[in-house]
Amino acid sequence: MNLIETLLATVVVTMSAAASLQLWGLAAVATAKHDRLQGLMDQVDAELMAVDLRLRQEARAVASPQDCEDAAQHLLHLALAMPAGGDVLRQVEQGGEAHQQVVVTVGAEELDQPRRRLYSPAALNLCGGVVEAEEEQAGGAGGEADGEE
Amino acid sequence: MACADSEEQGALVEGSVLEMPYRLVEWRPEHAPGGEVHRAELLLELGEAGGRRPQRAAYTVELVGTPPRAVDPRELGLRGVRP
Repeated sequence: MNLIETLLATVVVTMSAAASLQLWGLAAVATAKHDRLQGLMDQVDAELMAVDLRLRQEARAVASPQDCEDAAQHLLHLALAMPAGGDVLRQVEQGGEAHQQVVVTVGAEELDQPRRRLYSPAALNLCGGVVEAEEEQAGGAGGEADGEE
Repeated sequence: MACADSEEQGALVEGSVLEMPYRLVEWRPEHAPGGEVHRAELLLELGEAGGRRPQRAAYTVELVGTPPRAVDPRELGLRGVRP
């Protein structure tokens, strides 16, 4: 192998090594981003489960049914009082019909879609029995729904 | 026993929660030892939202009181994606 062949071989090896390094770098960046997003989604899930658990614990602790609007206010304050952790953004607001429900939205800046859950005090059995009986006596009726995105 | 009005009955079959449409695909009652239905498992189809394809998810609800009220909804998880 003469000098020119040796130089050409060196250039080829150097170029292929650089390309390989670049590919490894891109793959590493993509993997790191994927891990970061997965970690954020896990945090969002954990946050939503913590709020869910707290509200259901409260529902089990309440023995007698309350007024639905008061119960929604109670749930709202309870969820607002919980500390949010890490990179997770949490929003708690009143929503639904007649503001008798609570909407919990948990997300993160890097995630496209936040997770939202609607809490109805009636569905948590915090109210409804007494109010429903009163509505029936007055000829009315009530309903509720609970959902998640 | 009082029956729900048609609007409420319709909301049991389909509706929307937080801008996400849902449709009841099927429900399966669970009977207590006395024979009464005390729990139900619901299979819902969650409609397209935010560019996502419809999904099916299962939930359970407790049935309490007379007339029965569905309380304590809990998610069991996704049940596959509609083809």
